Amino acid sequence: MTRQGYKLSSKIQKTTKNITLWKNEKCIVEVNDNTPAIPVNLDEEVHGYVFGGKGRLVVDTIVETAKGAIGEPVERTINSSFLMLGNAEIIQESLKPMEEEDFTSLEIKTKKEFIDKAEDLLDQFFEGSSGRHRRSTFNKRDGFVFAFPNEKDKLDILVCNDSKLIYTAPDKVFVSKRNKEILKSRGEVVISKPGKSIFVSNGQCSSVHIHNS
Amino acid sequence: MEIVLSTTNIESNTYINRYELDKYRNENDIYESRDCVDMAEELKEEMKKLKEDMSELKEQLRDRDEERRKRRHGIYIDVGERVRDYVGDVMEDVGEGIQGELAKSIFIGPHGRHMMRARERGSLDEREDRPVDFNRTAKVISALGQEHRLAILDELMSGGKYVNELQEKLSDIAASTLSSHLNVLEEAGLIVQERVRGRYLITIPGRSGYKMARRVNSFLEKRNQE
Repeated sequence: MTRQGYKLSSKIQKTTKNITLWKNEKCIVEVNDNTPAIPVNLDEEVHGYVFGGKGRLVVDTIVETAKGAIGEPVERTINSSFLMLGNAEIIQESLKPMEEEDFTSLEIKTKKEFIDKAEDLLDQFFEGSSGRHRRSTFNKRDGFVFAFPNEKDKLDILVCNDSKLIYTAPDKVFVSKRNKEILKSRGEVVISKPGKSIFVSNGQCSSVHIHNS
Repeated sequence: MEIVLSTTNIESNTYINRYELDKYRNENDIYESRDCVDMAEELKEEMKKLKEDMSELKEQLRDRDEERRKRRHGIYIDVGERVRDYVGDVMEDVGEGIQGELAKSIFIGPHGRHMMRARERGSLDEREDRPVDFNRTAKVISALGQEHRLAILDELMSGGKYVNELQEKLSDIAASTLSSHLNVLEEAGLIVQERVRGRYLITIPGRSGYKMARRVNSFLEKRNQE
């Protein structure tokens, strides 16, 4: 099994307050208070966490064009385990060790259950059915990568840093990089940058339309 | 009646002038008499013209009365037909505009859930035969049918705005009412709110709806000018 050297720690922790893991103009990722968290290590250094739910994900997958806005925001409550890779130092002060009895009030009832779920998630992320998330290593300075299991038993992936945001879900891909935005949804693609929008439809009859504003 | 009297007075004056002319003839002042005859003839001509003018004026007055009478009884039919024709033309234009928009760009319905292909197989006739989702259409038209909501769309045409910016621009709308209007517009898919920043943006259907409202306004203004 290839995880590119990423391993789960044996030290389970829990959040001591609601934490905003990432926030910019386009997205918010939050994890709730009293949520189990297990560190993801690379070379004995913490490179991320698997959280045992609950949290909140908001991504404004909306593209502004001269013809009007296209798309709708993604807003979902996270109820299952999700992965975060990136600079984990900022949240370490909001974590404390979690005991077995702390699980009794949670949806995940035991430490073992949580670890199993976290292992499965890590496998799914690095292996995946297509292996598309496989890479040598993820540099913490690249920003953050989040992986959220969805109802189709696949992963919604969010990659974000100060200058870009990439969100992929089964029916949607959204990329925002500086002033350029791309949205792919149900066979249609919209590419927008200042002064120009390109609409591509690849349904029954493909078409491309370019609008200059 | 007044006109007739005036005419009579002029005729009376003419008679007086003839009397004066005879008087001058009696005084054998040939030259002066001839001048007076000429003057009388000219005056006669003038009177004749005046009578013709009067007659023409009376005809005009009669025609105007007739027109007013017709308007009182028949204006709704005449103008109604014109309005119907004009609205028909406008709706055809709107239809062509929407068709053009569809041909030019991707159209996303309420909540962005119903994407239509820019061009689909089949002729226009075939497309017209498709069932119309009147429920959705009515929802959109209903959302447009309120002056404050149109004012909100007008503000958003110039770019995304936060609710406090809208409140500032549309100060005559109470905060709670504004919020309610924004919800209606968002439900109809005419605007969308960014969840992170909270800005409201006008959508492609929203812009189309706003343009339709502008066209109706232009039509009404044109009607008022007429």
